[in-house]
Parts: sequence; structure tokens; C-alpha cells
Amino acid sequence: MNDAIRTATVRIPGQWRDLWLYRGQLLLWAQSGALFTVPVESLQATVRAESDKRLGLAFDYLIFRTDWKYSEPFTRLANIPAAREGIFACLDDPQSSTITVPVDQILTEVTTDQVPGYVLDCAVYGNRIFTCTESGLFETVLPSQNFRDGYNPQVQLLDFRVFNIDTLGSRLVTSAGDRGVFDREITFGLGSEWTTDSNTAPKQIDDYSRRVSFASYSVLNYKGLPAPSLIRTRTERRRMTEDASYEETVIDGYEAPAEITEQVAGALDGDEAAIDFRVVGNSNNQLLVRNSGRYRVVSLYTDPRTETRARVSNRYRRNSVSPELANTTLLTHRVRAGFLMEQFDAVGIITERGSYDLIQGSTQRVRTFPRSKFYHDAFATVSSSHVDLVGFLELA
Amino acid sequence: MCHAHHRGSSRQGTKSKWAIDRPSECHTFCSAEDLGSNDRGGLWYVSQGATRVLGTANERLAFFQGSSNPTVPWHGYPVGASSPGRSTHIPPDGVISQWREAGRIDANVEDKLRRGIL
Repeated sequence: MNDAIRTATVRIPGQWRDLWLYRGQLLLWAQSGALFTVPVESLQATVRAESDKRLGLAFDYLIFRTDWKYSEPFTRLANIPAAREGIFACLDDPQSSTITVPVDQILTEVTTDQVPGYVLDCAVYGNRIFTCTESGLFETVLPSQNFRDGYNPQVQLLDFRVFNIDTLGSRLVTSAGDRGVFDREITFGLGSEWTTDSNTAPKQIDDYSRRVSFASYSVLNYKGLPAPSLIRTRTERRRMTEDASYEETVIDGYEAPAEITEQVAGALDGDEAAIDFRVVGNSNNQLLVRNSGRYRVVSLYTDPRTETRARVSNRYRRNSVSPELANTTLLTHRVRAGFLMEQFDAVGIITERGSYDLIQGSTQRVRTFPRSKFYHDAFATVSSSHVDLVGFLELA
Repeated sequence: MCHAHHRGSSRQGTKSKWAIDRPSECHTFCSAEDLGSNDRGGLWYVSQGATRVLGTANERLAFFQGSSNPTVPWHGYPVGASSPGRSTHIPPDGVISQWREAGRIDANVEDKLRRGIL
């Protein structure tokens, strides 16, 4: 157990392929491709029933309402060692900090067509599920609030292997290897309006890609080069539906892909000579950069009104990034606290304060929910016999 | 038998590099022949459970490209998602399935291979 960080885990037995937390529902993909949903409040109720008041509160803060961790009342309270100890000492014992919740009795199958092929990635956005498989990209629309009523129609948007997807600002971007990066607007229409919209095919915006990720409202396209290409966007504020009460930022176009190698190298100047650096991942617009065996976090500024700039982040301390953790990372994921590091046989995290091992042992995949209101600092792991919803708290 | 590419410092940053010594590389090639994981005239290799790191960018796979000319040695190199250069050379689905069915890799490694992150 690391003295500086505690975790809480909700374990859901079963053979699952992937999962997502969205609008109070846990969506679970079975290995067969079938999709199920579980109300998060049912998980929460079981956790509370299985634990004492302190543990139930800790699980709420760390998993079910991670936004509370960043509230002023909580941060002030947590800065008092006795108060922090009083609440979170219950997580010191790894046995009690994992609660198993069987979901067989609270599970409902979502009525839709099963996507063909092995599920490689997914995203849920705007009452739509986007699923990437070896056979293509699929969009499933969820007309009802609880995803359970009626049939949920599905269309195929691309008919070749799609590795990963990200969504933001009413757009989706996908990485399709040698076929490039594809983008499409996500409309919010239902019924016949959706049927018409869904006929719009995604458009290629770059010719090669290993992985894509939004960084603020721009796209980073990883191509195996020292730095990813930057695809800046044009955005505007508008109401998404006629009766919407507020405006949202939407992406309405892309600029040509641009190299940011020079900007990242420039940011590292004065640190160490940037001869053999590589951007190994990002968490929003924070780039994790390896340079001569050491790691720095570089902030990328992509305001469309100015030139793209990069500079070493002041928020991440020079010694906060552990080379041991960063060196063995396969993929970085965004969480509110920083970079969640998916490794071959472990999961770690890099925050502004330090680097920590969170999970030892191999998992199939890791998922985060960075744009979720409640779950943006929790993550999930998928294993052959269960999925885990995991939260964490730095004690220092 | 095994070509000496992917060892020197030339074209730094554009080619993957072996992290294992030369005899081990040749043993890896022999193991790849035993595995019989063929792909377009080449052979794929992964260690049992993919536990062995083969390349300097943490690659755990290797590919050995054959030649139609028998006097030309096989050209082997480590392969991974973090390899430098523009390549999405990942094992075909059939090879991944073969490794899984043979117990060479478990479900966790299979998933990472199919997602192209290993």
C-alpha cells in the first residue's frame, strides 16, 4: 500500500468486454457484443448497504461523485489531517476498500443490434453510443432516458477497422491506422431527423493515425513521430436544440494538420537539449514528454486567435513524474487529477503532486470518463472475470 | 540468417531497435519459426505471455521479413505501438487468435494486441 494515496473499488463480476458511465447508467458490453445497463444508484445503494457510514461516504467521494473531491468544502476539510484521517482511514485496509456488487438481478439488456467484430473502443455522447470494432464504426441512438424502452436503432458509419474514438463539441474523431483520421458532426436529432443525419459519412481529415485524442478543442493525431500532429478546429457557441436554455461550444470545422515538434522542443529549451524527445501521451492539453530519459509535462495552447504555443507546465513539479512509471506505459488516459497510466501489468497515475502505483496486475483495458460531470476522476478496468470501478484520493 | 539492421545508431528515431543481444535475437527468430505465425512472407514472434521486452521502446513483438532470394538474410525487428516511424504493422487477427488458442497469450494481452497498444 502506498502511504500517499488510497483507492476504493466496486467490483462487478462477469465476463465483460467494455463499459461506460453515462447519465446515471453503467453500460456494460458482454464479450458476446450484447449491451446491458445498470443504474448507478443501484450500485451505490448496494455499496452503502454493504459498508458502514464512513466507507459509504468514502466511496461516494472517490467513485460516484468525484466532483465533490474538488469542492471547496471538501478540500478545506481534507486539509485538516484529523478530519481526513477520520473519514478515509477506512480505506487503509485493501480488503474493506473493495466491495463486490453482483449485478445479475439489476441488469437490463439494451434492445439494439449487436455490433459485428471485436469491440476495440467506444464512446457515449449525445445519447449515442459509438462503437469501434474490427469491422467498422457504429452509431447506436438511445432515444429514451433510461436506454431501456423500445428499440435503439443502429447504423454503420465506417466499414473498416477503427482503433479508437474521441468525442467533443458535437464532433467525433476516429483513428483508423493507414486509412487516417475521420471526423463527423454528431447531431442531436431523433427519429427521421436522425435517420437523415446518419447518412452523412465521416470525412477524412488526416491520412495516417495510430491514435487520436482531443486536447481542448483541437485534435492530437499520434503518428509515431516525436510529437503528434495538431489539427486545430474552428468553434462557435450555439444552442443545440430550439428549446435549449444555454449555448454550447461546438466544432464547425478543422484546419489542416500541423506539426508541433518545434513548439514542444522550444518548450524544453533550457531544461535539457531536446534532441531525442517524444510525446508519449496527453491528458487534455497537457502533454507528457520524454526527453533524454526524463519526463516533463508541457502545456499546449491552441487558441485559434494566436499561434500555437507550448511551455513546461508549472503545475507539475519537476520531480513529480516517475521515469519508472512513465517508461513502461502503453497508453495515457485523462482524469481530472492528471494522467492515468495504462501499463502492461499495472495501472498508475501522475498528478501535480507525484506518481503513484494504483493497481498491480494485468488488466484487459482501462477506461476513464473525463467529460462526465460526476465520474471525471474515477476510472474502470476490465478483466476476464470482472470489471472494477476505481476511485482514488491523494493524502499528502 | 539474421540481418544486422536495427542495432546501430544510424537513422536514429526512425527505426525500432533491439533491446536483446544478438544471440537472443537469433533464438527469437528460431522460436518464430517454431511458432509458425506466418504473415505475407514473414514471421511474427511473441514470448510466452508477452512478458519479454524485445525492443528499446518496450516492444514485446518481433517481425522477421523473409526474402524470395534465399541468399538474402531474414530482416527482423521489434514491433510495438511505441515504435518510431510510420507503421501500423500489427499482427493480423488470425495470428492473434492462433496465439490465444495455443495459450501463448492470455485474454489481457490479446485485447491489447487487437487494440494496437502493445
